[in-house]
Amino acid sequence: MVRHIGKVVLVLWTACGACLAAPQDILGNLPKSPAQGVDLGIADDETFGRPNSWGMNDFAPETRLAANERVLRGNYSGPASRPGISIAWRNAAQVEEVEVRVRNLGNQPGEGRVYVLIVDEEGNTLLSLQPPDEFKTIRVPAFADGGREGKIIRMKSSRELNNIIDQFDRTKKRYDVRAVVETVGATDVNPFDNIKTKSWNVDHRVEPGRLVAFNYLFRNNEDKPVMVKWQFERTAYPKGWQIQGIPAQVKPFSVQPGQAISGTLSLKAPSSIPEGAFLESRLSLVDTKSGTAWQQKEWFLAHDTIPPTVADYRLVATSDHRISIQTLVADQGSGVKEATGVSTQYSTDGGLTWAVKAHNYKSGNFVVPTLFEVTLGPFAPGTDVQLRFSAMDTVGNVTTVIPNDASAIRAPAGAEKLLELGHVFPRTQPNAIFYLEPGNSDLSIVAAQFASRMRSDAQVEPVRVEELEQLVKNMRVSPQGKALLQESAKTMSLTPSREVAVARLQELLEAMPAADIPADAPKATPMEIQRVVAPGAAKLGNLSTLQLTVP
Amino acid sequence: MKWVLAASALLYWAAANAEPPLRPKRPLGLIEPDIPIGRPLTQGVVALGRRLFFEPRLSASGKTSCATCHNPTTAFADSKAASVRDDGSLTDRRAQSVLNAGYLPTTMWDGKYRTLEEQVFDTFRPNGDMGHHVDAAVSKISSDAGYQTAFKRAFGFTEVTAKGLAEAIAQYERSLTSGDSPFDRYLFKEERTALTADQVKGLQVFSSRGGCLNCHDVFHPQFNPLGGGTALFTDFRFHNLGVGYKFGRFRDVGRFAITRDPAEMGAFRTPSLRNVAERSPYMHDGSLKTLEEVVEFYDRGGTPNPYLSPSIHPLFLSAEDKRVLVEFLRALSDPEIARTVQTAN
Repeated sequence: MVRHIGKVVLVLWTACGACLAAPQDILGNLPKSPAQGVDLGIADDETFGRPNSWGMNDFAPETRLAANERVLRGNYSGPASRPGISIAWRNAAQVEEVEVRVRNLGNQPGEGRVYVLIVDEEGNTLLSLQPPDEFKTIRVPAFADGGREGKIIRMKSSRELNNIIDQFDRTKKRYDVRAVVETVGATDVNPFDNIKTKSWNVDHRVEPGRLVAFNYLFRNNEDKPVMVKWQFERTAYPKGWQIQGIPAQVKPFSVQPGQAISGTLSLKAPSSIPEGAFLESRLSLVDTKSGTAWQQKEWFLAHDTIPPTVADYRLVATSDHRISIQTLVADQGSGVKEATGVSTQYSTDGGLTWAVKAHNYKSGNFVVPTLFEVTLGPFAPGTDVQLRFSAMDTVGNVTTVIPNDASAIRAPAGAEKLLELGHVFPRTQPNAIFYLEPGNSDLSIVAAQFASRMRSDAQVEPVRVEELEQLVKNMRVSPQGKALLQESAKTMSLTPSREVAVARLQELLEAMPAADIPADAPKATPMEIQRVVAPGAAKLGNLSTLQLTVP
Repeated sequence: MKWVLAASALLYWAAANAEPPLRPKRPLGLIEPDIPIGRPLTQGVVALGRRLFFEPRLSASGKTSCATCHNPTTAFADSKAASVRDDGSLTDRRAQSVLNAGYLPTTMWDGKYRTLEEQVFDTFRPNGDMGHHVDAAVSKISSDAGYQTAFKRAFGFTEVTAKGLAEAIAQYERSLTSGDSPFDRYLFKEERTALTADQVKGLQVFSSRGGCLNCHDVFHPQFNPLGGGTALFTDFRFHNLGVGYKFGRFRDVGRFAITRDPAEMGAFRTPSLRNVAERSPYMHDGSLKTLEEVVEFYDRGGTPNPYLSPSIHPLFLSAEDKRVLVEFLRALSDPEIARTVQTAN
């Protein structure tokens, strides 16, 4: 068995005859020369460049390729991978954003328009995402000048996308993310890769000796017929793998408005598969007129039996009766499932029924330790809350074990403002609340910052001052904090419409003692979390259940 | 369409005295800048643009050139907190570095212009940076035989025109690429000794709890799920940090003046961090003098105001975090630029 990809020699058979191919043909070394002209396209992601390095797997000698079948060779930089489309993260306003990587494999720079469609299983467009005006048309250099690296374009969405993703993932409903780059001002020498699709909520898992299937449906939702032909693309087969059911028809055919074409691809896995073996496959109907993928379905398959690992599980209970959880999740195999793969389940009825909340992605690449956070509640004080945790990878391996070194603290009063003041969960930044350590006490500065924020808030109302009063009642205010509050009052007094609020704040300040923070000030304290052995837990992979009483 | 473009490019080159396209330097960590399709850089255009960039005769007083504010000895940025117009009056903002300006989808702190050519024209107004209209500037050099020759070489005709002036300066600016920093060698060439131990720690702060990577983007598999191979350290977006907010109002409303979108009140474009150590002071109003002050500013969560960006909040960095973060920022300098700055100062 050959372990090193660089030593694999593959025999390629093409429709026109057999030929020997050097290993780099499959594994994607640099071509002799880039395409002549402009060749924009959606890049693949760089999974192969991650620590798990897909390329360490064994590939099968290729058999005869069908006329409409093509082996993905990796676009010059390594084995092909999933499309370079990421829908994983939420921005500071917690709205999902989509990133797309566009590259140019031609020897001329090119310009293109990029957009993304969220499409349901039947090809209906649910949402269209556009880049900001200044990125409506982007220029991508020629291959050798940076076209290989390409550009990553971001598209903001709206809460609509959050709802679609969350709901579809919850109900396991299939959807496609289709990224398009339209080449402008030039004829693209290979328009086929200008559209790529990433399909979600399909079966990605391959088990030895088992059959796995992928049902596809292409429907013409337009008002005129379209002439298409089949195109099936895939990466090199791992040993013993072969997709069945690839449409055999070679000749172009017409799809009438409303007509649907459906079928099934399947893979009967061999009895032995090396861990990490994978296949990226794409079934497309190519518009014969434009050469673009009229519609495409993606089927990513991997044999990955190792569930994600979980580390640094931290739980913080705040005095406003909320519970925040932060954790690092890694998955060296198929990667942590994007968007909703990490979640916390909680029960307030002793574990009889459970609600689920997805963790927000913060930073990381879903393979190396990647940060996720969530905030639950508020719950009524005294509520017994049970918590479970779930980290799922792309093929569906799930970790439900909360590490033994999980820590929990009860934050001092006022610390919850860290959640509010920070507009919880901006992208990539762990919330400050998770930096609280037992013994960390001086939160008066938090109150002062809150006040500083209020003083410039156009919506300052007396009720906000009352909130501040409640806040500072729960903590000692240091001279520094009080000075900031006084400055706030002074600033607010410049605005006549805030008269009432200012008067109330000044009253508050007059009555407020300021003192250095004493040693016995409220501190972040360790919190005991009880582990509950749920019925059947051992049969569920030692499913962890924590229980705590909301302070 | 391809042939039309090729033909137009050919005509352009022919007009430019058949000079072959000039390939701008592609430093480590960057891709080629956004050079307009069909208008490649040429030696003649860039040489003309460079000459014009340093030409004080273009101003009303005859003393101000582009390089007055975009000074090579301060990494092509202004070392003053507020740049000074030709008539001696102060602008509201500090001129940004034009290094790597060719990558920007919009220019200026507020994204006012979509192209560098538009920006060049903007400086030539009676109340503008150069103190008079572009036609007046052109008339001051149009009879100069040297410029006539340079225009001939650049564009194929001897007439000195405003359009040619703007284009030449813009193309020169596009040729000003700057990378090759120790950080680039560390990340893109995997030279693990390119950064000091403190700088490596600083990179960790930068990319994690400092949250700097939020807006100062790096596209590389280490930091982005999609990979990539370029680091411009900007998301090209506009954010409100509260800089210049005092007594309940903004001294400069920033992006709001362009879009009239209240969500962009007081917001300014994320600047690149390349060569940041070579071009103090910082922020659009030059209100922060050192990198240490900048880090402190972010650590306390900017200046609270009603439009503060949601991603700006207290960071609770330790003193050590702040120290190594500053050390890391010093690793973003192009050695060539750093040498020029150090030699001049």
